[in-house]
Amino acid sequence: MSEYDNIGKFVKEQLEGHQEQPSGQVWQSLEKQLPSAPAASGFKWWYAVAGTVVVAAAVYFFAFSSGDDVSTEKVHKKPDTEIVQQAKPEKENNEQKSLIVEEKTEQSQSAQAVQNNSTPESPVRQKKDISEMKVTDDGSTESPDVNTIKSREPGINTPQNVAEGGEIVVQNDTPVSMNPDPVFDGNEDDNAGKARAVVFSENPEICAGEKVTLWASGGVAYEWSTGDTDSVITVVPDQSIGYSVTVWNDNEKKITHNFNIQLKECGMLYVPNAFTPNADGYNDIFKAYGVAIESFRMQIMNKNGLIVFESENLNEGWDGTYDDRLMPAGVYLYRIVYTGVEGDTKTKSGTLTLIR
Amino acid sequence: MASEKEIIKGCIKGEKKYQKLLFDQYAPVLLTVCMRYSHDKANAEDILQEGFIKIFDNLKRFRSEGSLEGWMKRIMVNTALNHYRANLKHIYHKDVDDYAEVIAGNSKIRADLYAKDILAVVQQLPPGYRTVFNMFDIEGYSHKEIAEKLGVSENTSKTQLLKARKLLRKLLADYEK
Repeated sequence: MSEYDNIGKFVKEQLEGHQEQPSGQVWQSLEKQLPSAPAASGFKWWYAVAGTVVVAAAVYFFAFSSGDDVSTEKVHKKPDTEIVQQAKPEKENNEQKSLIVEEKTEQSQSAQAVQNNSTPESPVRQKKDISEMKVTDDGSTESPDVNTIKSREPGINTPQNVAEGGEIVVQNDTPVSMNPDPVFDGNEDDNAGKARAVVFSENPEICAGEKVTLWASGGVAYEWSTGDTDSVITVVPDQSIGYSVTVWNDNEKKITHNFNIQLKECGMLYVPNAFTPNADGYNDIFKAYGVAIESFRMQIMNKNGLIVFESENLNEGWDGTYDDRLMPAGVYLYRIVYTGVEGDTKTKSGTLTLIR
Repeated sequence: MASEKEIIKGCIKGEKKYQKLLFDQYAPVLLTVCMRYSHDKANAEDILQEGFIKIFDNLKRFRSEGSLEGWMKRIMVNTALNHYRANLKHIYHKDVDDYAEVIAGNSKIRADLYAKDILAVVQQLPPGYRTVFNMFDIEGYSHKEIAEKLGVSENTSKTQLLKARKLLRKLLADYEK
């Protein structure tokens, strides 16, 4: 009974110290990835096993919804990186690691060699990289399965949430197709090791106000052009903008990846949460306000589900009457299905209060 | 019997004997961690292997003031989270249903369920639920941290935790029938 009530604690306690025997294969294949120690171990060297320099990559979006509606959900998608990682034995006498990230997908462009150099990149260098990336940002070889992406349909917002207003409630998580690009290819001859990053690089397009979460992984330190040093950052760009991230592995080698985020024009809708149909000239009509809306349909119903108002015209609103009778003060529900110029059909619903 | 210090030292030097010792000593506990984050043992072993590569690679950075086991567990958890994120493409959950409804006390769980059974039940959870449950209830991450690490909202994290717990109760109750 008590276990039942605190299931988390119960599971934690039961599994504390529990041991599962790995199959022999694990060590066998692990062993293959660990180079054998030199017979005369006079000098020190490190294993060349990989601290993934994969600047992995994922951009993924969730839409912005400032009210952070309790009843809504996200469908997450993250592009698949298709990375096979291989550790490679150390070459010789130093503490460098070699690192290979093999890409299953074929390179669309030949690798561009970038000097392996642990001093910080100069701004000039970065700019150059951005332009290079733009050139190579084509030939996407892996496109996400668009069919599985669905716009979410929000539930009913609480009045408080709606009161904050102006948010786009419908969230769609736009995946970014992957495009493996060699951003770094160190020179093997000088024992620099080899690193490549597989990164998302299609320049994603988002609506203004949408949050974008940017992920880099596999390194020991990160630095974004925003100045952030976490592996995951969230940005809300207010204009089309380029970002870059530099990832260090623990040998202080680094790779930098640049990409751009484009803002596109999107339909936006603002729905108030209350109105006062008393003919005083203020807030007498309940209507939605939108920009860049292609199609629109609003229904308002009372708590019994009776549709008291319906319109496909954004400029038309409800005056608080039904069948020529004044409807009582109280809470009503609205549901709006609209399509923005970007072509996404979204649903927004919530409550409105009729005040008399 | 080699001490922990000797093992670490040997591993840093790249001596296979010590690497094997470290592996043998900790793999079973660490595999349990990996299994909590996986749907099956094979997948857990992949994570284990990858995690061990990171461990051997980074052992020289380990500062002995902390617990070696705790440090290695964190590496496994992070490796598991990387796997989870990498697989997000194939995972999505639609849970619009209400989560307020919490079944309480309508069935009991025997206290003698074995850890193995519990592990098996945890593995049955949908990946999103499992990950959040592990992170919050077992590893002790906050919803904020989970939201950041998984790139979801805090509300999603909370919702998923509640649903995970609810489903776990149900699965555990069913399991013993």
